[in-house]
Amino acid sequence: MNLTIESIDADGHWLLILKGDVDTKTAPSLLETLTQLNLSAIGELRIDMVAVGFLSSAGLRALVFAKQKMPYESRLILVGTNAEIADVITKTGLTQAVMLVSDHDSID
Amino acid sequence: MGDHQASVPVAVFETEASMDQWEVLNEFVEQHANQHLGVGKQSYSLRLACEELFSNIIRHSRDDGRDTPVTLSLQFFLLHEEDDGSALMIQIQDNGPFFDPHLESDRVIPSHLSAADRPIGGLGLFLVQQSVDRLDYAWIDQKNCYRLFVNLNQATEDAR
Repeated sequence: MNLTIESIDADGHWLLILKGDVDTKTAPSLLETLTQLNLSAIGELRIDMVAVGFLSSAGLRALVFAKQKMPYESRLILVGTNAEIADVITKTGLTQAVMLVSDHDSID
Repeated sequence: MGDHQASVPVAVFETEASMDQWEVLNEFVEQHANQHLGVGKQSYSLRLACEELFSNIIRHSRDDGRDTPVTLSLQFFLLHEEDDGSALMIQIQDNGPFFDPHLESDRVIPSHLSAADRPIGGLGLFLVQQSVDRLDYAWIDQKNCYRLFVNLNQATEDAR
């Protein structure tokens, strides 16, 4: 399945809306989008995962890459990940790098 | 390799180990995983394990400088063993360069490190190990052979 990415400079944060699968074939486009952002100056990056059905290690590496480029005190928030993707993120111990929230209204 | 008596495969697929075949490969796995495990965690995990192995196989398929394409084959088996219970086993073979991922050794990821300090590699094979109930690797007849097992009883419970 293809991946589409919408990038929005929102009020006080940056928002990426993903639709599709983030796998070996599509993760490079996510990485490219991330590299085009000025990550070192972004305090909060939200990634809407509601329409993402699959995330492989290639996608996880893109997320780690983003967090490594963002300021130490920044927040990387995944919104609406399904249970399977949340389980993979938990297994890999990345919950200390990314916040998982069910919807945008849950973000403080 | 192993002690299961694999009978006739319930599904077989063979193609070139190429990103051109990426969707076809993964859709084949998804279709048969859903069919035998039901849509849910076990099916997703098997798809994830296969995706990670396909990625490795394709990425390293020309490491030995060959000109000819590498062939990747998949076989699904339903196993029924009195001692071990029933299982779905997928066998993945490729005739690419020898690559032993040492699946018998548990991979450890440095989850104690912050994202800033964490090495960016090593996640793929860790996820393969974490995603199935049992797996093994062997080099047989000049082919890499991976076998992934998912316990059907557990899958049935998860699919409910």
